[in-house]
Amino acid sequence: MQLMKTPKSMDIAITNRCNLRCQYCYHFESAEDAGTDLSLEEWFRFFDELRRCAVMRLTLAGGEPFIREDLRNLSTASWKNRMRFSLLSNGTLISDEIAAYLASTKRCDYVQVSIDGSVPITHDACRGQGSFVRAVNGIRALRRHGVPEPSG
Amino acid sequence: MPDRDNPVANPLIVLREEFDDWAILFDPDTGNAFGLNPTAVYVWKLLNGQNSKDDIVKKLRDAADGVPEDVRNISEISSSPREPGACRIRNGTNAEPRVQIADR
Repeated sequence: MQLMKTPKSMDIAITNRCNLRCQYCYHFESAEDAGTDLSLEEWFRFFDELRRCAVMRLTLAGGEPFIREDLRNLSTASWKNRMRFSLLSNGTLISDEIAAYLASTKRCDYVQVSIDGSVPITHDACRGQGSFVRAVNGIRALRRHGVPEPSG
Repeated sequence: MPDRDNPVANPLIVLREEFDDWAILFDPDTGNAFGLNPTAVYVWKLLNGQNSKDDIVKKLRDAADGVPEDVRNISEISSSPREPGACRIRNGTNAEPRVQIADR
């Protein structure tokens, strides 16, 4: 069997942190859970390596990727290294400002926001009180700026 | 020394070489990707501003058998409707020679 020299796309957890504590989440109990996040400089070096490997697409996840204050820098580094990117999010930290920024990059394929049910009581039962409304507000911000958001 | 009239590959386009000598051209601005056959990969790598169109055709003839006399038979990169702007002459006009782009 012949294998690709390098991956075409990569999923990376850019942070271990999350603002929610969903009941079913494995993240804080996994043996693979890292205690600290890589610094911006370390991610820059990694993205540079991905460019040299001709990786085409990145999925930025976590934890909750929007919890990183330097998310703009990370997304900028990904497109400056000739990659497109997408994000997996709980949606609660997506502001109008960051949605506008993502749209402005023209390299964001989508932001996937997790929704557990069609009404707040279902979603909030596992994700915490008020998380449904905040997630929907995040989706609305993405829509206002034309960022694709295949919620699921 | 680079010549302003020599064709240059767009540095924003990613050439992703695969195990079988084929490659993918990926445009991160649009997300479009195209397959290049080995001949096209060879030509793409010569689009560095160091080679004129004639240089590229000569090198291609030296490297491969059966290169047609009429280089237009090698099809196109620069004016392909599927990949406009992949390759340019430095003075801003579209570049030749043209190499075949094949979908994989």
